[in-house]
Amino acid sequence: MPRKLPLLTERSLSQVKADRLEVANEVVAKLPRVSCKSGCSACCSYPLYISILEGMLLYRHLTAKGHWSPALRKKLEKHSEQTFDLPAETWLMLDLPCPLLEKNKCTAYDARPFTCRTLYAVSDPKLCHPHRATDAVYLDRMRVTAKFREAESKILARHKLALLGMPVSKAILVAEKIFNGAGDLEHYFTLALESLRRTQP
Amino acid sequence: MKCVNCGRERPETDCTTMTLTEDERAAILQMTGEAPTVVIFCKPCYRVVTDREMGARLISGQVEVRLRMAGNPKATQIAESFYKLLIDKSKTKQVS
Repeated sequence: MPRKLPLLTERSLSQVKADRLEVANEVVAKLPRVSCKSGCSACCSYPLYISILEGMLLYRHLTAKGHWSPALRKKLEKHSEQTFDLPAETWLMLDLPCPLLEKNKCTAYDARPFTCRTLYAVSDPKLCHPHRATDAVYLDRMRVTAKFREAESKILARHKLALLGMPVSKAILVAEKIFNGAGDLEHYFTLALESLRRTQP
Repeated sequence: MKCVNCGRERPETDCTTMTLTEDERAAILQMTGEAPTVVIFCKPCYRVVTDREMGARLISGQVEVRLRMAGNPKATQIAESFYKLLIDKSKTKQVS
């Protein structure tokens, strides 16, 4: 069972969750134009970098819903080793599915990161495959992304932390350490580096 | 040092240098007109290319993108066949 977090950390998580919903809804308002359909998971193989805050929200959701298991942890570790520090272009070429994807469905859909909530295609879905993604056209989300990143930066600044994007698997694994008491949110960078040193060839 | 895959400049300590065999040099010479004696990979790219499945995915993905950019309508099918070929060859240790 994950431990109870410090009050300031809990407040930060609640705020990032609320900000994410509010900002993402600005994109959702344009939804009638999109060509995305349920069951299509082409964009789930795109490079995905998230903050530790979103990693913590994902970890909490996975444990609360009973999806956290040794098998999932192993899957996340493998994905993290494969993607940490990997250039986005190379990651895209690998067509490597998100470790949270099962049978073309997201196992953490309700807690999915901002990037996943706001990426919608308006072109033919066939173009969304990672090897064709440069031809696909997506709903413009530059403004909302900047707005959300700014909100995240402000929240992290309260903890004297900077915003750092990590591969989704790495962020969840670091979040697990925080929830299990290996360190507080303020130590996330050190926790990320510790696990990185162990995965170096 | 510059990674042959992603093109990023990295310090020598973060790179792995692979010395090519005569056969590998000959194959590269045939494809590109150049025959380097060594190729340099940064650590993250080296992890990918030395993984049998991931390495094959990366190479076939790059082949698909280049064929598509060249306007080849069978880019996906060719890349899929190439992926299978690489996996088969790696099983018989014809490629590492």
